[in-house]
Amino acid sequence: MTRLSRRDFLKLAAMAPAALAFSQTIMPSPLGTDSPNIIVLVFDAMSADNLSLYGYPRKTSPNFERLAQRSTVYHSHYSAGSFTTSGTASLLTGLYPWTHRAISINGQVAPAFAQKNIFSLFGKSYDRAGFGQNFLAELLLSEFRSGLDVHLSPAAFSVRQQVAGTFFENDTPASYYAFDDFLFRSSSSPRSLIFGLIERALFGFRLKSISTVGYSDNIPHTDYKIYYRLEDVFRGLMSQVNQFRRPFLAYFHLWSPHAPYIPSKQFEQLYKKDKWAPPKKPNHPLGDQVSFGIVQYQRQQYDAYVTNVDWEFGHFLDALETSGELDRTYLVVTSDHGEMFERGVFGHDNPLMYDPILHSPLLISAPEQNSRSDIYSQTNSVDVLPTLLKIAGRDVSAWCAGRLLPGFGGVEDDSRSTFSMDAKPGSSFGRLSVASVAMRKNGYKLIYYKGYTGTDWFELYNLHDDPEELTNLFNKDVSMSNAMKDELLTTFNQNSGPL
Amino acid sequence: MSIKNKLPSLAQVYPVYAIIVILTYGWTIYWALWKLPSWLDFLPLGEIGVIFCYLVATNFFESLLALFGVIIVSLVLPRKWFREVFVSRGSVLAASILISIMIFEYHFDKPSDYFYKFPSYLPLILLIAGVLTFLAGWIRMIRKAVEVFAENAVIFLFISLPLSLLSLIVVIVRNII
Repeated sequence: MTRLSRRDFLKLAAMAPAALAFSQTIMPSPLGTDSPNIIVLVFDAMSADNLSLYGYPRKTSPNFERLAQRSTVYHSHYSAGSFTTSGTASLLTGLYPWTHRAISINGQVAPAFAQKNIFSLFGKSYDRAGFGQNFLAELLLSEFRSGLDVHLSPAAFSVRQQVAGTFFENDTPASYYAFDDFLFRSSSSPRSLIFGLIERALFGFRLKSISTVGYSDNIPHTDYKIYYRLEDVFRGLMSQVNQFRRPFLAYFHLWSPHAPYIPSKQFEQLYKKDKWAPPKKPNHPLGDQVSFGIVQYQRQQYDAYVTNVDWEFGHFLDALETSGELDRTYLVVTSDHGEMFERGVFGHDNPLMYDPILHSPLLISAPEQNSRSDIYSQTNSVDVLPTLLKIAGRDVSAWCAGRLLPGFGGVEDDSRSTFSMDAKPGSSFGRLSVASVAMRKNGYKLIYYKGYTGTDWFELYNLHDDPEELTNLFNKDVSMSNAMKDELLTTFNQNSGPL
Repeated sequence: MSIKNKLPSLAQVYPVYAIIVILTYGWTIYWALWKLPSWLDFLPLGEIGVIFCYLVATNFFESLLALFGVIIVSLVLPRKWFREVFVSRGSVLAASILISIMIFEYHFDKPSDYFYKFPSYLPLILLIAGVLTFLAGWIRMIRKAVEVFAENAVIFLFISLPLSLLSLIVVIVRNII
């Protein structure tokens, strides 16, 4: 056994502060046996604006805050899309919606970019798993299934489900489109005259036997006949994590806290009597013109549901910590888009580009990270893919629209332009003639509404001075407006052509 | 009397099946045409074609199920009541029940409606279907009119059957490969 000399001891002691500082910077593991595991946990329609982690007055996210103590927390992270299809596609491809063109509800990534997804790019040395409880996310996973080693059914971990497409594993998503989104779609009358009747009556019978213990009326469910308990979903995911081959990349896309907002009894009364109210904002002409009272009620339900989801997430976090998995794994927690409760609108099924609908949580906990790091400069969901590729030791391809996230090789840069877009009404293949686009730069946000009415219009907000986006500066700050307008229109026109 | 004697002949089955095909396929195709512009927005034509194959294959099986139901009625009822006027009574029985289902489905969409409300509507549907079926065999003019209509409807089978066969092949191949 070699003894440590006094000289060596002093050398090591001198290096200690540098080593300590180095340990605070999260370094990616090189590719090989030490490649890190990665879990990407996506909460559908979770707005960062409604999380106490980001300063929301209601205590909605104590467990997110707990995770934040050992994570890099991104305060100005925005989704590139304003609903599941476009937001998730950007997250999984690192491309803006005008490039990947998954811009219609139920849409998929254009064939030219379909192989440029996170699963294919990670390659076979990783065990790659995907779970999309939201059908729109599942449609994308189905498109990327050649890159998946484990493809969990959207109905996995459910209490009751009746998803016909799962019987046609080799031909999703066509079977999903035919059966679950059309013939047996639950939000409309059945499109199959006889089987539709039988299917719905059978499901009505099966729903009758669901235990609603712990809930006032019904347990959480999706739009596609999947009824579940949050605790079962998190328990199921944890069990999957234990089964994956190492290293693994797991993409878990949860339906909650997407509408319908169904908190358990424990949480449903939580904010019913509090005196807090958000600032009143004028209705937007493209909004739904819902009354303030209804919007407030929906917000209250949503907040209670988010708190419920956070509570169950806390148990998942406990399980990851107890098993030691968190010390071997990058845990990425984010959402595909936000949810809006203002200006006569609740939900996200609208073309508006305000922050509640785009501001997404993003926390990245690195293996053995034990301190919090806060990033305030703006980031976009297209940045997640290149960052995860870097963490896994992969090259970041030039086609990717995103950059490395600050803290993981990237730099804080507010002078960079980032975009969010919605173009649901038009064709995915043609010129984008109806769209709303938000561009952020230097703390300003320019919104462009194109083709919704006879006249296109712009809105400009200074997010530092006016985070609630109440004062439209477009006609007041002319130089800033013109500069941002020129850049936005140039970028949009370059990318909005037909495929 | 043997079961064979109560079974309708193929010549009697085709017109009744044609009526069933018009209603079951027609219902799905009507809604699919509403949906088509949305599909065209994000799906390539080939993929839309595959979706139509799933729809037609489903229609094929449900039309067979409906036909099977009419044949069962023929087996259960006395030959004189049903088998001998199979085309008119079978067509009216199938049409009245299927149209009743259409009306119900048009107005209700929750699964609970189908479990709780449909059973309470069922006696009314059966009563209407029973009366119309009885009249279709009893009043000569109605019987003739239904028979002429049903026999002319057979032409749709020349489209639906090959299309269903093709759709089934597509669905099977897509799920094997």
